[in-house]
Amino acid sequence: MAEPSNMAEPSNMAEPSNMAEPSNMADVILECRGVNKAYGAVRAVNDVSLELRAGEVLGLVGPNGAGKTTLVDLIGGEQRPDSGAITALGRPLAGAPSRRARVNGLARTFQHPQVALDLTARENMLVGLAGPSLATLSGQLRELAAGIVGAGSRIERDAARGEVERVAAALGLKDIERECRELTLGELRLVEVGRALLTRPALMLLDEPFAGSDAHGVAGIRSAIAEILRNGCGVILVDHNVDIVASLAHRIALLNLGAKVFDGDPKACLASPEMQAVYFGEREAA
Amino acid sequence: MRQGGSAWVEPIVTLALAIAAMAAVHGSPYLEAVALLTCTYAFIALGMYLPFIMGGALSMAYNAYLGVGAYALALIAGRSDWDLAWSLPIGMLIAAATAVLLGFATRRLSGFYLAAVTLLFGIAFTTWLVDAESVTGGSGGLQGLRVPVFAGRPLSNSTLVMLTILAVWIVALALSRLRNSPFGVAVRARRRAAIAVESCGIPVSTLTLVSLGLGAAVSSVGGSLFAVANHAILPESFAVDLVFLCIFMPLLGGQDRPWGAVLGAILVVTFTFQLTFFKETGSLFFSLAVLLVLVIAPRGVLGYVLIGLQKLWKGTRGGETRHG
Repeated sequence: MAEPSNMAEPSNMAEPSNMAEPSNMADVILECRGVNKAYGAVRAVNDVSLELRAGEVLGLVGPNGAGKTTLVDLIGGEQRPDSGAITALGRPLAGAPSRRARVNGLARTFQHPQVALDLTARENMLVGLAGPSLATLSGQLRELAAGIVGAGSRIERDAARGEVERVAAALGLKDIERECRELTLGELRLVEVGRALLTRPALMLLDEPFAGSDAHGVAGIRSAIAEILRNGCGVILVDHNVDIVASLAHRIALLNLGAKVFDGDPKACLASPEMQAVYFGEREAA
Repeated sequence: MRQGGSAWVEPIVTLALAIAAMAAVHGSPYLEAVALLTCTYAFIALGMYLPFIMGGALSMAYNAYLGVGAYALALIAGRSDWDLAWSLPIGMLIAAATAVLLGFATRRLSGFYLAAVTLLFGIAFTTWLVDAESVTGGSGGLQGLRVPVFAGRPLSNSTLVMLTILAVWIVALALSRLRNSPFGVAVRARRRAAIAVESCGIPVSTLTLVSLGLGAAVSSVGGSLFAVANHAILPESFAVDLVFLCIFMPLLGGQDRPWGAVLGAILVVTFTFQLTFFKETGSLFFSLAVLLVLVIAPRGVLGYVLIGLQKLWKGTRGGETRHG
């Protein structure tokens, strides 16, 4: 996590032109090779291969049912691929439970925000900070004992240094002592992003982070992406809003009916016949 | 997380209440017996607080954990020369191990199915207590337990009551601290957003097993206490209807803090055993009270008392500010 002085304010929206170019091919942090996933007769992900380099934003776009969220779930470990290989930081991920994915440096947000509504925004984000310490049985017993006797654990020391507040400020999330049931959908998405950031990820999967967000929320998530890139991490950005994705991504992978039909420069993707065909049909593309 | 100076308010206020309770029952054998019963219930309710109220994992086998604590003490008292104090850690360890094994076996279950399987375990445990006559004394139980020794002298009932109230205060305070610690926050987050907790690298199944183990250990202390207070135990004392009574204690008292579980235990004992005009219908009145609380005051009695106090505090501060 960068020092607070390095964190961008939400108002300093990170434009693609300001973003550093991703590093060379040797820094591939995520690789999918021939990944398949079917639900009965429906092939949700069909022989998809892609890779992500450190410091790169890969936009994943496509219409409803294209297989974007399924692919993110496969990468995140929530689902198991039928075949194919997924490696993160050189370690195989396919079939791993979601926390294995996290141990391998992945953090994610969800299409429908997964936030405990009866907890405060601060407490929800604290779970991200606590993740590494509570990843093992011995760590949990240590934190249990520290919690009972009131001794300050490593998580509490980090929290006392204002880690949660710093990330919240960087995202433009105010008054984090509010219960999450009082937050807007956009704010809930920021809480999710903040929680994921606090796990200190090498790769972030953002599943439709802009859905339901107002301008403030969009600015916060743009800041979060800039922050992730500054730390040399990679981002997979899934969203229906192709314009926003194109403005942030270094590269776009276009999915349709589970298959990857385009992978390349965002401007080239927007102008490609594949994009026209996917969104407007073959006749218009012709 | 701890909130600076205000962190001292809770232990001081609750300790003052515990001392007041000790003073109120001291010298009256009847009130001391009521206090011991209340504390026994409070231990079960506190044992449920971490896994059930905080973590949402409903196990119905708490009668078994209570029984483990009671029989551990009774067996040590009747069949060994060991100090009875050993029965506490031994009972806690066996109860925790039982809960972890049961939790591991049912780790893929949740909701109704988890409740049903653990309920069956609780029923099987009471049946086993009757059947295993050579170990448990069968349906006649274990009688005539020796009196524990404290500070070189036989433990008097008054001293037992004082120590027990103090123990309830310590356990409730420890759980209150735990609730706000990172571990407690993760357990509470697991209840509503398990997938998110898992995605942060925290194994939710391990978190649940640790919670169930600790909860069972706390409940077993209530069983040991029950055996000491009664000098005898019977299998029927650990029937599953006890669990139904205890599930609702934190709901009635207040879910926001472990002290709600203690308050719930006090209310249950008062309604079911104390109020003479509810003598025959105490349990029915308790059921109606739970229903009313869940419908109109889901935060429980303590939750609304604290909200009222907060409003009063803010009103006072606001008045000071305006006058200032």
